[in-house]
Amino acid sequence: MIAPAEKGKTVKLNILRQDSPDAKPYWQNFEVPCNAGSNVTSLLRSISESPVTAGGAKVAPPAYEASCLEEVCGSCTMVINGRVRQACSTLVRKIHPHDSEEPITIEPMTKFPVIRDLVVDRSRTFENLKRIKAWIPIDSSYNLGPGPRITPEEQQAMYPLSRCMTCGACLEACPQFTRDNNFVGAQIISIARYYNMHPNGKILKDERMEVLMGEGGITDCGNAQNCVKVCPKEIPLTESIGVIGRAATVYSIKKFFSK
Amino acid sequence: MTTAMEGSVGKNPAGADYSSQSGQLHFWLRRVHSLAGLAFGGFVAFHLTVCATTLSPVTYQQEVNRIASLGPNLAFVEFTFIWLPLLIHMLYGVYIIGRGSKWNGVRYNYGGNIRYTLQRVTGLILLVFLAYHLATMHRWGLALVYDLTHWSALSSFPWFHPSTAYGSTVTAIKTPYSPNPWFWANVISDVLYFLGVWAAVFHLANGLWTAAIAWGLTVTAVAQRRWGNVCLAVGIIVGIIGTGALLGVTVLGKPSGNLPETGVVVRYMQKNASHASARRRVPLSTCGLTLRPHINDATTAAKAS
Repeated sequence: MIAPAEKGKTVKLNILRQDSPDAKPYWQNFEVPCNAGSNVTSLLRSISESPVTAGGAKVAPPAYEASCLEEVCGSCTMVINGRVRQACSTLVRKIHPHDSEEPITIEPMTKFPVIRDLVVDRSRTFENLKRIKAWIPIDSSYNLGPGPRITPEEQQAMYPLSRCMTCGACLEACPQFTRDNNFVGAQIISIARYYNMHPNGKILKDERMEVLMGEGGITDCGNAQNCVKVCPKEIPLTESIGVIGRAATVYSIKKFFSK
Repeated sequence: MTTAMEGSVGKNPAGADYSSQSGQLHFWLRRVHSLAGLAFGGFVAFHLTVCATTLSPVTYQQEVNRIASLGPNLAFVEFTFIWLPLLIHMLYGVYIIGRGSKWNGVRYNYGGNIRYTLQRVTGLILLVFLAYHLATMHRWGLALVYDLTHWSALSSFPWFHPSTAYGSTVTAIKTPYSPNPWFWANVISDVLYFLGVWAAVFHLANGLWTAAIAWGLTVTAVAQRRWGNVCLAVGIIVGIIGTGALLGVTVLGKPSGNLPETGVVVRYMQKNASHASARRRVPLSTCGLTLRPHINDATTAAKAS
């Protein structure tokens, strides 16, 4: 149910803007209509409809990404009121006390290069997915027949891991993941675990372990465990880190004595 | 916009080769760092337990005698179980902190994140504390500098000596400027010891917790919480023992408290004696381990001169 707009109800927004990748960021204030069911994406859309600052100046509308509007694509991930989350699933009434005069602050994620305003370049995550071979090798010149069976128990364990939408929230909150280091972060470690669990995905397990034991791999995890706290999909990320840590222990012993 | 995309697509920020051997070296060294931490943590627990016996000076002397009875083997034990693990753990720990991280314990103030930050902060506190502790206590600290340079400013710095374990410990914890326990420099020294011991206790307990995840011993959140409770218990026990040691050597310590049967060297007595004879009681050739527990101090001094 969409709540009816309350007449004259507005909310203040403080948005960190950046005109181009190399430009200096600056804050800009807006005041937009808000009703009981508003989420942050709807506020940003209101600004786009009439891009006028709180001071009355007409400006270019703040650029932002939004696609699914139901927290499954991850594209609208940004830092709202100091915490990383999806703009679409962030209801204004949940983060903003009724009648509050305080503005809601909206910033782009800090761990990725800004393209413009709230739009960031997350291609680092895609490169890392390729690096750990986040796929199941099924290509062949002939039909290999049906794949191995996966028990319901295995499916239940794998399903939560499959929900990752590469939004970058775990990376944004991670103190070990920075703009200038190589750490792959919880997302990649958990995805590697997911593919290692699959009967066909297992074929590439050793190759994934080689990468995860390399530069920027599992070694750089500092166990701050922010990842699991901020993950919107409630993926057991720290459990995945434990599993890959155990796999690395086993693999390193195997490698030391027999490779 | 296009140029920005081209600039970052396909490139890692540091342009590193992920499967490089140097990357795997980091993995191996990090695991060695973990093992070294366990070894040194074990020593710290043992060390605090021995020092807690300062609450009973005679027991303390007996424990020190037992350790010193290892004779020349002690240097080997010290190297293997103390110096080597400490050096590895310390140097690589500084490297890990220096690799750069974005501490965000204020913005994301979850327990795990605060412990993560504290683990690094306590590591740095311990760096400072251990430097001070070794300089003022150990025969390879300021004592060695004095022996090599005969720099008069260091002549009044006492250090731990096994034959007069209690007196030399309590004296060395105080600064050489005043015997008054409430003298400001002595208070700072006591505070530094308090910080150092509790930083070590936290660093050890939390290190046990994170090591279990790193090695893959604890995997599920439930197992991590369960092991966390064990680590907390270890921390509390070692903390209580450590606090006993702190009390024994600081506020309850009696610098002038003589142990007649062991012959306590007190700095303020030493000042009156000639420095040459006082120093010669700790010959470097034997790493200061010549142990004459039941010989009166005066006799030792006379024999040496």
